[in-house]
Amino acid sequence: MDKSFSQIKTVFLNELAFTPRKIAVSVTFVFFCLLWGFAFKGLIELDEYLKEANSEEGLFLGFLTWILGLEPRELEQFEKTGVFLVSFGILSLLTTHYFVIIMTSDQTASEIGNRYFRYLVTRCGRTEIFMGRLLSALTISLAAIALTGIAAFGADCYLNGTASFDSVLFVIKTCFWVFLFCLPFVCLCSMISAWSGSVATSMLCSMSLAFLLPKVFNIIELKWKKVEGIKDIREYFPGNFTHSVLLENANASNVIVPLVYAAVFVWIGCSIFRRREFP
Amino acid sequence: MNPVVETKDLGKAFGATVALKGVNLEIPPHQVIGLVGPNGAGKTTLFSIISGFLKPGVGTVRVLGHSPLSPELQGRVSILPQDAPLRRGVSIIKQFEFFAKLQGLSTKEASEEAEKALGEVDLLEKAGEGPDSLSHGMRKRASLAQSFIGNPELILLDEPTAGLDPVTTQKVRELVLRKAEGRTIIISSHNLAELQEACDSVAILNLGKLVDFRPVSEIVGRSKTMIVRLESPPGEQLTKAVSELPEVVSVKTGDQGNPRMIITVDGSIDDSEVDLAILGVFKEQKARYREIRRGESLEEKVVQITNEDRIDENSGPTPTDTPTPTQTPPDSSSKQ
Repeated sequence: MDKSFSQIKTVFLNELAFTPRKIAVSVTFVFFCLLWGFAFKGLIELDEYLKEANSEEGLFLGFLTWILGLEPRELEQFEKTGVFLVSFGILSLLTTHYFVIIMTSDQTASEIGNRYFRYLVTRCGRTEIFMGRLLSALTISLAAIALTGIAAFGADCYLNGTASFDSVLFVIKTCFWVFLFCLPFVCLCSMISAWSGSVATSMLCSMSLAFLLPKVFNIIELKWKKVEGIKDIREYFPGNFTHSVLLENANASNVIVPLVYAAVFVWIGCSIFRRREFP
Repeated sequence: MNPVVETKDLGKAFGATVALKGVNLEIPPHQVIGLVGPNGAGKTTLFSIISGFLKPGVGTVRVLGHSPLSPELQGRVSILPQDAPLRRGVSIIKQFEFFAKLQGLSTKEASEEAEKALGEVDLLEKAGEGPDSLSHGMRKRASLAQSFIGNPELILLDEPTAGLDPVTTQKVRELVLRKAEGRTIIISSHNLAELQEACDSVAILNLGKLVDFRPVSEIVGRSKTMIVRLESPPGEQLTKAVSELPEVVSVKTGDQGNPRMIITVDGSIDDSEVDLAILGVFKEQKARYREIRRGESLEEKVVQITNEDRIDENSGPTPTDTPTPTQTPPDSSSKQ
């Protein structure tokens, strides 16, 4: 057990140190920062504008409701927490997992392809390699999410001229939900990466799932809108609890569902990696 | 002593391509073993199965008494893989330290071990550089050095001297022989002259089958065969005179493009007596020769054995289509 833990730690630290040198990670991270830079700038300007022209608020919220498919009840959050932070939360929940998928899609794939693992598998357990790499990917994802949270809190302080406890709490809660939201996708990437040995396949499969699943549910809901409880099935699939979180009526299943998916993906991925060949 | 590697009826196919077929092999400990055969013979596949990279299709493999994927083997088996790059952009010493830590060494020990391994292949001054800034030869040496990290009992070297200059090849051979003390090294190579000098025994693979596994001395017939390379094809008179010597069992001659005599001698007579008798005939007959050497070259024997095997293969079903008896070198305790 000690040896196993020590090997996971060694792989994790080594991978963490190497991650910034991965082109996919560094380029995506730059785009991630750029997007949030533009987003924060836009949201700050919007927030300032709306504060000055209250009458326009309804127009903006109406537009947001339409484009994001929000429910009227969710709009109450804007009044409670402020346009800037709520918009940050929505944007985070809607976009972060795409960046995370790109950043974490190559946990093992390229090095299965280029045979680098041949240097490792005679020295270290396969489970340990897989877990070490997964933990490193999760850490990178968490770091990216935390960075946006810190930036959002800073921007909110700038807007309000003061740091409030509510803002801190909202940012922490948002980061927690975003991380939880991304967790199954990171684990899915690790599973597909171990199975396919291809970065492109891993990215494509995870991206397709992340992008298509909500669309599929939209169609299901539209088709079977008269079926009672049809909306609730959304919550039992990865990446489909945005509305509960925004309405602040998240329940235990919102936490358990992504954790279960993550555990299942990790278990399958680890089994594949332990048994796979390295041709 | 228990064999280091033991395969029973080992087979592996990639789709319709059969890479290994009915390989029965027992590799004894503390020896340097050569693994030879033409391209596509199954050498790398056999290495990959022993290292646990590939699973056997049929049959079994035991490495140091365990299954190749057993955690018991971690750090006890190491490999110089063919065409596997070290990580780009990370200094070699950092990568070696990482490998050493994975094998259970502390940070300080790992650092010392990494320096030692790099020192052995004269790459200490390049320790801080990444593999991308090294020449092909240096990268090869670095890959070779990583296989000596820790204290592996079994080292598999897949083409360790491919692409190296003669001086470096010589150094690598010396290093391998130094490292062979107390451990087993299996070398797969097309450089048969190098294997002839470095190995105790040689296993010959052809078309996925193990066709021979014997001590090098036995394969090349060092004690019974003498090769004389001539300046021109030997005349009948010379051939007759040599074959009439009491020490000579038989004489074969080469063709027009390869003027030579392959003389099989009586192994029970002292080598120097035989040599002098044959040289005496050459002097009498005023025959000019370029080179006289004991034993056939490994290269010649491997070509001969694999060609014979191909002819057997083409002439219909043979006993080799069924699993062959386990092969182990009969007298492999002494290095030639």
